[in-house]
Amino acid sequence: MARNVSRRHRARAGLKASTSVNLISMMDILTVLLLFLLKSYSAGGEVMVPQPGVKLPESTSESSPQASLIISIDGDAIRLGSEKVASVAEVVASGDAGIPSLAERLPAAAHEDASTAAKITPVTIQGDRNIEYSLLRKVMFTLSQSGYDNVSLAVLRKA
Amino acid sequence: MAGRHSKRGKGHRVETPDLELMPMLNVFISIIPMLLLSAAFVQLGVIDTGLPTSAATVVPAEPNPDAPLPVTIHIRASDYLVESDGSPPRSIPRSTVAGATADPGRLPLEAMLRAIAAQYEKKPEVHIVPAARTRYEEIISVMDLARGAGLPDAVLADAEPGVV
Repeated sequence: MARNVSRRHRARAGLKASTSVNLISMMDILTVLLLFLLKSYSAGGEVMVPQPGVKLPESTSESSPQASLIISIDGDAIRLGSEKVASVAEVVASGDAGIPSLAERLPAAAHEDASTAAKITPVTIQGDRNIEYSLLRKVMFTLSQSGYDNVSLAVLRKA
Repeated sequence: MAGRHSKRGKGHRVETPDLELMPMLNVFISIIPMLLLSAAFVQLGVIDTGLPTSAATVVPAEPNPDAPLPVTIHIRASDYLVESDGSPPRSIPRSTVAGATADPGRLPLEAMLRAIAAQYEKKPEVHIVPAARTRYEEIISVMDLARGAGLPDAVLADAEPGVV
């Protein structure tokens, strides 16, 4: 009854009902989210993303990744960036010390990066934790033969 | 800032402050997507390493505190073999069944590396010589052990001369 009177009164006076949404709880959620994101925000260095299908080994290393050429090795393929350059099965089966298909593409990559200030292009190898050393050695040998001496191994940082 | 007025008694008005949250909310809504895009949820690190060299280049010699010879760790299926400064190789048995983290050879290896690190002011380089079938995870694990023991410079080496 009282509400009807109030509505009638407002309608007569030409006033609109003002509704206010309680935003405090939403602000709380957003504040927590913001703090979490700020904590995980990387302001400096290179943000490196592990390639899909590669389970990196964990390590206590505290060195941060740099901008570099990425070579990923998973159970199936060896990739330069996101491009597949060789099949792991074929590389393992071959008796070569290096990987010719990788070596063919590496000079092009070096040439592209020659425009930058870095004389020697750093290379980061993202290897799956279960690959064998013989495979890693072939990749590193190929890099060595192509003139890439600055090699880093990507790892997941232990918490 | 908007105010809400409430009557308390006749002729007395008490203003209860009400925060205007919309601008703050707008800022949050702008910042959060930007941070979500740039956030790194998986913390990646790198281990700087040299390209594999031949471990045969390590020539045993008399201990020299000024320029210590590299420490060589062979990762074999059944044991770790540690060579340091010309002393006879020492073998540390390891389990091949459990994973690298459950390896019983880890603690003795770490103790041995700590003892070697304590001998020298200038820390020797560590040459890690994995067997062909050694898993990448085990190599990283041994590199971590060496770093934890105070020998931060670890490079991969090759047991067979002339291969790399």
